Amino acid sequence: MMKFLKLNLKNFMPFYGDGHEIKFPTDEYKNILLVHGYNTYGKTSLLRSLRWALYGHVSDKFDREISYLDLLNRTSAKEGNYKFEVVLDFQANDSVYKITRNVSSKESISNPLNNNDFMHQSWFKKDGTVLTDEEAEHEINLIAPEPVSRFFLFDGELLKEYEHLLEEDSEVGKKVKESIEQILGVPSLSNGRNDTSTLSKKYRAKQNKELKKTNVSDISGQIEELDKTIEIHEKEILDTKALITRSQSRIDLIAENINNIEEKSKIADEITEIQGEIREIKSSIKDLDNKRLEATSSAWKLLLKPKLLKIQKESLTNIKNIVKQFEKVGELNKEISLLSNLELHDQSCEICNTKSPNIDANTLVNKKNIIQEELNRIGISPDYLDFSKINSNQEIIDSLLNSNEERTLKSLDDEIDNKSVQLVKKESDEITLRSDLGDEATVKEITDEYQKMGGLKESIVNLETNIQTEKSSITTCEKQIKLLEDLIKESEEAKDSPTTKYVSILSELNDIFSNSIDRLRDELKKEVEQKASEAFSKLIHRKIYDGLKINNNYGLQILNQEGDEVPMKSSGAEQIVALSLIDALSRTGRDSGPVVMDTPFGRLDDVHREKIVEYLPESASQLMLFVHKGETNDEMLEKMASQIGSQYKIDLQDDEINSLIRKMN
Amino acid sequence: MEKDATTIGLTKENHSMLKKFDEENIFNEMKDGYRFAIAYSLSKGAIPGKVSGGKTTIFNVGSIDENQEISSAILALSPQIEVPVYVYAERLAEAGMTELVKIYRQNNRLNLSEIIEETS
Amino acid sequence: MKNREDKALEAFIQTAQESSSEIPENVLLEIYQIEKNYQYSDESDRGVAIREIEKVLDKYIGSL
Repeated sequence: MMKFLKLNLKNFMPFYGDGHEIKFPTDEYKNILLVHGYNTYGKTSLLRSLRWALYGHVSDKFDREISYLDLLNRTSAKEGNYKFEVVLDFQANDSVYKITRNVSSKESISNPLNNNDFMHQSWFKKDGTVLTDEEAEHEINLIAPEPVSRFFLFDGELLKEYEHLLEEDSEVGKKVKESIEQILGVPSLSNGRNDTSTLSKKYRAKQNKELKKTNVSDISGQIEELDKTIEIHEKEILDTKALITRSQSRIDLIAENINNIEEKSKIADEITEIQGEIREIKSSIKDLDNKRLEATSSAWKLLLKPKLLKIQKESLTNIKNIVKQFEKVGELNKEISLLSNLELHDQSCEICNTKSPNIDANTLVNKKNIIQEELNRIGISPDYLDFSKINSNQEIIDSLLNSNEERTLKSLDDEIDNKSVQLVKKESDEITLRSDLGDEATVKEITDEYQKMGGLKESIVNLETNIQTEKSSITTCEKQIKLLEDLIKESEEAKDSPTTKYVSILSELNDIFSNSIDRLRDELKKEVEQKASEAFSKLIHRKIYDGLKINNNYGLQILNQEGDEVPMKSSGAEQIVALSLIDALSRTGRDSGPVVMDTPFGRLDDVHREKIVEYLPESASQLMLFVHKGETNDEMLEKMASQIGSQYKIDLQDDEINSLIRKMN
Repeated sequence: MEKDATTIGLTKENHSMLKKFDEENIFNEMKDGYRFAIAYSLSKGAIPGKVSGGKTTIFNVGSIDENQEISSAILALSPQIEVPVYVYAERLAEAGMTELVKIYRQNNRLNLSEIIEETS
Repeated sequence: MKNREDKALEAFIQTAQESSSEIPENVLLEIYQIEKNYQYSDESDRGVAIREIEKVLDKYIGSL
C-alpha cells in the first residue's frame, strides 16, 4: 500500500521561494487531506508537482508537456534564479522512498529559453539507498504506474471529458479504452509477444537460408515473402500512426485556436456590452450637464442665501417688534379713551354706571399726557413708520429664498463627477479588453476552424480503419505462415533441424503470450466493471440505478435494478459514472494507494458530494481533496471532520502574485 | 439722485471673459454669469466704486432683471446705496467679474458649487 | 489480493496449459521471469531480453 508522507516545493510554478511543505496524514482512519484555495491560486500546480516528482514530466490540459520554463516560478526567473525543486517522500510495501528532482539552468547559459538550456537531476532513495535510474523507474512502475496515474492524480477539470463515457465510440471512450488496455496489457506479456515475434522472424530467416536448396525451398520462400509482406504492413501501420499523431496534434492546435477565438468572442461581447454602458453613461452625463446648466440660472440666489437668511431673521424680529408696538399703541389708545371718559362723565362709568373712585382732574390730565407722550414716541419710531416697507422687503426676501430648482448645483456636480469617473473606468476597461482581443474574431473563423477539425477527425477515423486493415492483413499472413511452418515441420528436410525447433517453439510462445493478453484483458475488464459498479451504486443517490456495464467498444452503460440498460441520463450521473470508473481503474491498475483529486465536485449537488466524501476515503489509502470555497460547505466539513487528518490553505503571498501553503489548525 | 441706468455692461476684458465662461458652458447664458457676478460681490460685502475704463453695454436691465429680483436683492442687502440700483448693479457686476476671473485663472476652472459652498 | 503481476503470470500459465503446449512449465516460467525483469526496458533495450530468452531456448532445445 502506498502513502504519501511529505511534499516540499521550491520555486515550482506559483510557489516562489522555499518552505512550501505539505505533510500528508498517515492515520488509517483520519486519512483525508483537504487543501483549500481559490481558483488560480495553485491547486492544480500542487497536483502537477506530485506528477512531476513521480514521473519527471507533466502535461497541460492539451496533453502537451509543460516546459521547464513554465514549471519554474516566474518571479524567480525574473530574478535570474533558474532553479526549481520538488522533493516527495512516500512509503510503499514496507519501504520508505524519497524522490528529489531539481532543474537548473546549465552553467554556460545565463538566459535559458528551452528545456535544452536546463539540467534535470534526480535522486531516488529507497530506505536510504540511492537507486539507479532503471531501478527507480522499475520501482515507480510497480507502485504507481504512469498509465494509471491519470486515475489517481486526478484533475477534476478534466472530469467533463469522462461525461461522454455513456456514448459508444466517443473520443473519451477511446481514451478510456487505451488507458484500460495499457493497464491491462501488462508489459511483461505484451513485451513477451513482441520479443518472441522478433525472435521468430530471425529464426525463420535462418531456416529459409538452410532450406534454400531443399525440396521445401518453395515453402520457406513463401514464408520469407510473407515475412516481408508483414514488414511492409508493419511499416504502413507505423507511418499511419505517425500521421494520426500529427493529425491529432493539429486537432489540438485547432482546439486551442477555437478556444482562443471563443475567448475572443466573449471578449468582443464584453466590449459591446461596455460600449453600451459607456453610451448610457455619456447620455446620463449629457442630461446632467443640461440640468446643471439650467441650475446655473438660479445659482446667483444661492450665493446670496446666507446673507438673505440673516436679513430674513432680522426682519422677522423687526416685524415682531413692530407688532408689539402696534399692540402697545392699541392699549395706550384704549387707556386714553378710558381716561377721557372718566373726565367727561363725572367719575361714573358710562357703561356700567359704577362710580369711579375719587380721582382728581389733575391726575387724570397728567396720566393722559404721559400716555400721549408715549404714543407720540412710538408713532415717530422708524420701525413703526417703515413697517410696510419692512413687510414688503420680507416678502421679497421670502421670494428670493424660495427656490424651485429640483436639485442643487452641488448634487448635480457631484453626480457628474461620479459618472465621469465611471466613464473613465469603463473606457479604460474597453481599452484593456481591446488589447486582449487583438484581431477581432469572427463567427466565420470559428466555423472554419470547426470544419478543419471535423475534417481531421474524419481522416483519423479513416487512418484508424486503415490500421485495422493492415493488422488484419498481418494476421492473415501470420496464419498462412503457421500453415506453411507446419508443413515444413513435417518435412523430412526440416523436421530434425534445430532451427525448425526454434521456429516451432517460438511460434508457440508467441501464441501463448498473445492469448494470455486477451485472457488477462477480459478478466481485468470484468474486475474494472465490477469495481466501477460497486462504486457507482455507493455514489449515486437514486436507487433505480444498479450498476455499470462496459460494452465491447468501451462505452459505459448504466443498468437499472433489473439489469436493463437505462437509456436516459440524469444530470450529474455522468460525473458519478466518471468518478466510479476512475476509482475502479485506480484500484485495478495498482495496489491500494493515495488518490488526489483536484476540484472533484464539479457540478455535483450536495447529496452526491457527501456520498463521494463518504466513499472515497475507504477506497484509497489517503484521499487528498483540493477544493475551492464553493465546493464545500460547513455541513460537509463537519461530516468529514472525524476523517480529516490535516488541512492546508493556499494563499497569496504579500506580492499578491505568488502563492504559499499554510497549514490550518 | 441721478437717473437710473437702462442698460448695463462690463469693461472690455471682463466682457470677453464672460463670453468665455458662456462658451465653456460654465453658465447657461451670459445673463446668468452677469447675475452671478453681481451676487458674488454682494455676498462678499463689497462696496464697489465707480467703474473706470471703457465699458461695453451688454444687456438691457429688463433682460437681466425681469422679475426685479436682482434689484430687490441689492436693495435688501445694500440699503445704504446712494446711487440708483442698476448703476450700483453694474459696479457690483464689474467687481464680481474681476474676482471670478482671478479664481478662474488661478484654478484653471470656475466651479460654481465650490464658490457657493465657500460663501455659505 | 493478487497483484497485476500474479494475475499476468496466472493468465500466461493457464493459457499455456490450455494450448496443450509441450514446452515445460519451468522453461515457461524462466522466460516469463525474463520478461518481468525487463518489462520497463524500452524498444532500444529489448536486445538484452531477447538474448536471454535465446539462451533459455538454447538450453532447452539442446536438452531435447
